[in-house]
Amino acid sequence: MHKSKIIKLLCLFVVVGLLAGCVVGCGGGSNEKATPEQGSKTESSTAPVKHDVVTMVMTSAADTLNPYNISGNYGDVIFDQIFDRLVYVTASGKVLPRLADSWEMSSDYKVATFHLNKNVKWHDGEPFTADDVVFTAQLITNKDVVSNRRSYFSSIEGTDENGVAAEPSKIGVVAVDPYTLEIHFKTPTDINAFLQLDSTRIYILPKHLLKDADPAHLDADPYFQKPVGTGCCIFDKQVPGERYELTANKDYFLGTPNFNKMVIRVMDAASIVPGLMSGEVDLTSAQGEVPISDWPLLKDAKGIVPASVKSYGYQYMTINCSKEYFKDARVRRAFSMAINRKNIIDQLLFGEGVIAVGPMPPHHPYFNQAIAGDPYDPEGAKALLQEAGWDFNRELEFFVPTGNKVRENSATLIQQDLAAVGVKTKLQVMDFTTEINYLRQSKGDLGLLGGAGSIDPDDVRILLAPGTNMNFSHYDDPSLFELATEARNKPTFEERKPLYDELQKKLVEEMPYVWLYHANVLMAHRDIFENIPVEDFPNLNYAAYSWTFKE
Amino acid sequence: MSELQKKRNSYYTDVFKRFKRHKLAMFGIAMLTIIILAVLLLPMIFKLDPYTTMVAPALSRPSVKFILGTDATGRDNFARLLYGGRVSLLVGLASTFISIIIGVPLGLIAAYYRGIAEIVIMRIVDIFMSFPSMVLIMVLVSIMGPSIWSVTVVIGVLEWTQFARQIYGTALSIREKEYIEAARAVGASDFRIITRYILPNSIAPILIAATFRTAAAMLQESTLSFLGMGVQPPQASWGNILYNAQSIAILSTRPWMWVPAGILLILTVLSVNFVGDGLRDALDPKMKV
Repeated sequence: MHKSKIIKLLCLFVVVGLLAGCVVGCGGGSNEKATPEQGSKTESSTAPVKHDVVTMVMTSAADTLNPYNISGNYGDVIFDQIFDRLVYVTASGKVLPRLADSWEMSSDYKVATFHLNKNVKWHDGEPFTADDVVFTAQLITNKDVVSNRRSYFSSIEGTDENGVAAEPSKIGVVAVDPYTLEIHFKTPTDINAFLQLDSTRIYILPKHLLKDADPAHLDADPYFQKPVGTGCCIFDKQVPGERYELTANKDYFLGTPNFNKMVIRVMDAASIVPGLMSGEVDLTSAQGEVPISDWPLLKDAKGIVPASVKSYGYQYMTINCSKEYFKDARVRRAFSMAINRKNIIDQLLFGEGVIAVGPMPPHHPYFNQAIAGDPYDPEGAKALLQEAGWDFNRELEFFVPTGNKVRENSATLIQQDLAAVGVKTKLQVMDFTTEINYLRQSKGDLGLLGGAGSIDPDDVRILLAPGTNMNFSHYDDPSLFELATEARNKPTFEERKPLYDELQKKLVEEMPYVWLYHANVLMAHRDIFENIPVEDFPNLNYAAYSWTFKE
Repeated sequence: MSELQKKRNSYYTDVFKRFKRHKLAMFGIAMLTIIILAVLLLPMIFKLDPYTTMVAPALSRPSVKFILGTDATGRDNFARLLYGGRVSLLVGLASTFISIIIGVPLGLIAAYYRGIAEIVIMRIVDIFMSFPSMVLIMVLVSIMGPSIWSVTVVIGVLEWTQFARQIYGTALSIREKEYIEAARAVGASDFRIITRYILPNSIAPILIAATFRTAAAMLQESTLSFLGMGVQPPQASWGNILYNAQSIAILSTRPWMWVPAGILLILTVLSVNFVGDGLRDALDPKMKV
């Protein structure tokens, strides 16, 4: 026989043997790699155990280290470690001090006063003061700055609904003295709305390092190559697209973290559970969840603690309302009625989620118990489409972002559901950032997106603001936005609830977005942690300074 | 039968006899026949549907009705395997065809006309060959938008160079043969000389290279689909079946979801390679290709 034939046969056997080996050998196997170092033994028996390197994982790199210009939430995993915000919002909605020790609202609900912690230092040793907050607000609301994340300033006096200030030096953020900050709101406001929603995206930047930055080219400022914050971790370096390395801030004002270094690794979802099992990864983040297909494996995995966390997040389908054929609400309702949401929950989420009636899940304090979402009614949907004069020959472009397997698979199910009522769609799979750009440019017809949600119901308002870059459906009827703004500007829960009930009712009637499902956030960590607030992760809060480790 | 015809017939019967002696090539032919017939006929016989979701609960285990179970959206895995085979084979064959259509004429022109044509064409070949093909394929496919057609066209348009070089080499030597000079003396046009004399005599290595290219193209499509850049859902291909198996749970607890596609891909590629080996030995045992 020719030598090449022998080699080819050998290859065949080797390959088949490898396959067989894979099938037999795969499964389980957790080799713990990192062993926690013992902290120095002092007389106190409660000396915290020090861990050397903690590795967290997320499934996509942050597109920039400027917290005011990122797309998506991947950067927030990093920002929560290196920056601080005014307060810390727990999963239950309780607001705890962070940069602000305490706060109170004026009796006319228009001025919030924050008493800032006096022990906060920037990573370079400079003291943090109220001037830094004022500077951050003035910088980001400057119209020359490119920012897609400043609508969170839009409740502050002196800004427009996009969070842009005509005259930044005059906006309602005032340093009364170095440790007392006043925020003046445009209208009477429920301080919880500001604390539980807006303030969660307001990361404080250092005045002394950015005061000479050119607002028009803020992203290009070298500061953002290695941002300096006040947070519990100091940014060390990044390997672009692969990992971010941080070191613990030993002088952190809320306590020295119990680890020396934190590494945030970027890995694709399929590698997360293998990473946990091999010890390469210590914990998941809300931006690096356990994929649902691997979730059942964690039940029996030794040394790994799974946690299915209810969140306020919601998944929805955008409908390009700038297109003529989508302007009729009956068409949008028909699409909603055509979709079998229960199937998605049962088959794709294995029950780890609930159907979405609107953007708020049933456990949300503002959830409107009285309304029901659209039932799964394909016949009714077809009838409604015929009534609205839908052209059944039309083929719609349906954008599907990668990075969330359940969402990708839901697109297939939704496509079939729509086809069953005669609506033709063509799926286009693309990465998340590309989809956001396409949607913002009003390309395509349908798209899938998710919102992180918030315990404050105002979260959905920016999706409804006509003409802004978060209105992915290009829904230009201002009435829903006005209702949401009115509801936001009432200062107490009792006054806001009826308005939000009305809003949720209208969101179902008008269906500018087709609300799909609320998925539980599937977290897991290796069994090295004693105390870790996994339930706060979906709120972009990691409280890394509070983590304690087992021996 | 004339002497010439008898000679031609006996040449091809010799080729066929030599091919039959090559055991692995016969195994390859048999395997390919089975696979091709299976992917073409079984779906019609059993009325298989790879697109409808929820024919059974998602991720069901193999059962009598669905012998390979269902995938994450409840589609029939067996149907997807067979339809996926169609796609993988189609991309392999069609892209090779495109490469041949581009490469062979270019190589022939360069070899026959020499001079400027040769310089320009062979430098173009060099330029194309200097790119790492897989990387360039990925870039072009993502620009054009991944789909079965963009994958076919891009692979076809980037992999023609080996055919051009191959036939250029062979045609260069044939061109010097006396019967070519005789044909020219009789007044045959360039076109006739190229197509009637040079091409048939230089086609053998092309055929062999075509089989190897087909196998390689199938692997390239699978790689692209495995990375999410090839054939898109709801269409199936062996590569994107493997893509959907990227999960430690599926790898370790649900082998029926990926082992069949992997095995079929390996078997098909190996079979095509064996056939290529057999052809090479049969057409000219002394030839070095």
